[in-house]
Amino acid sequence: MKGLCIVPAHNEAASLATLLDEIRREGFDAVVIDDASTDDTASIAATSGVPVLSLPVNLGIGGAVQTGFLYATRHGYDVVVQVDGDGQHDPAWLHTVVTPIREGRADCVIGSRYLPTCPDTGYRTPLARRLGMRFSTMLLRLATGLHVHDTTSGLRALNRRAFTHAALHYPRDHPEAEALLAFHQSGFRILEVPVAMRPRSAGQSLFTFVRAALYPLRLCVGFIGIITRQRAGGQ
Amino acid sequence: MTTFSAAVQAVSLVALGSLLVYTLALVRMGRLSAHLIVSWIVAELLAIIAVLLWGRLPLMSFTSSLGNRELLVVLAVVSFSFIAYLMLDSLQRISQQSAQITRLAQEFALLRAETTRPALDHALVEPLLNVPDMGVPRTEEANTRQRVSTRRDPGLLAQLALAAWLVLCFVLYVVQGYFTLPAFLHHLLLAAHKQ
Repeated sequence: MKGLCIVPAHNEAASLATLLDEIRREGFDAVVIDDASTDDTASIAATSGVPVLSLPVNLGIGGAVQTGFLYATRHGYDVVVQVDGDGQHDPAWLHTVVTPIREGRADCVIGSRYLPTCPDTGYRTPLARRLGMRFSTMLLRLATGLHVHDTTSGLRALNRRAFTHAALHYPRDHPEAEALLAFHQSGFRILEVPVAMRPRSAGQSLFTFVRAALYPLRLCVGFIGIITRQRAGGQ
Repeated sequence: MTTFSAAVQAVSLVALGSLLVYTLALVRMGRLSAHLIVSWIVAELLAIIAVLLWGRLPLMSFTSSLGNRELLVVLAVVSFSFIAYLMLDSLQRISQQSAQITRLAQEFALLRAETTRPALDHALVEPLLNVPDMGVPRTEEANTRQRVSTRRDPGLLAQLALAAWLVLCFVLYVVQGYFTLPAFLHHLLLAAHKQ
């Protein structure tokens, strides 16, 4: 099974080289999506010997990841794993998130920090992010009946069917929770596996105070769009 | 119909007529795409027809029996609805173009990655790599040009002035109903009522 790590990166020059080395040691191919960085992210990635997709304008995490899905579709990969360029996702967990896909048990596997059976006690989530995540967990459960404990985890693996679908339809900003809803609506199987994450080694989070405050509203609007679109398509 | 209603009707016709003429002028100058503006022109024409047939519309004959004050409130609500429709139409087009830009940027990144493969002749791919940055202009000169361009745009100023005028009218009307106005404003509004 041919596996690819999609590494979306915006101004992550400080952590990228180390991350790419770790991914290579796990035996995965990698592609870096440089989301209009203003630092040396693209050149560092190129120096590491991985393909770099340099976006001419900033598309956000959703647009960058979707570009990676397009790349994976066109280069015949069987499974992709999304790994954030800030170093929070430890590549040591790559095989853990890919195994259920290899075994055919799921189409989308989420590396979860908050599974009750095995929570990541070492990772400290900022309060604003935790509140946003609780909200998205509740909303996703209301909309689908699925109880996903870590809706905002960026460490997730998709099989070919799922990422081919996502290459065509993927939300732009804060896409994690909306993507789960879209996958569920499209009939894909979603599974969570316990992982541990590292604190951000450098750079700044995209989740500012204003974004955190607007996140619930943004999520509601996005969910309504997906649900009504699905219903209109079903009719 | 009272004299005041006739005055409001005349002002509305002049404003809407000017807006229609300005819209058509922008199309003629090439600053607006004709195929994008059709719904706007239809909305403006419908608004002009509605104002021309003011006295005959069931809604207006009801409000004119209530007095001119309620007539102005209805006019304000209709104006805001008109503006809201036009803004939503614009946002819809912006959304469509945003999706198109996203797609183009992604295809461009994929194509550029393909063309930078070491196996290809560098002399052939060099021109493809030298694509101008589509981001915000970074040079001071470019930034200045952008700011000056905005300052000289009469369309933007006209839109801001119209929006400010509408908001002021609405606020004054609400304030008049619930608060004590300064004497000069009170006399001004009283004179408008008497007309």
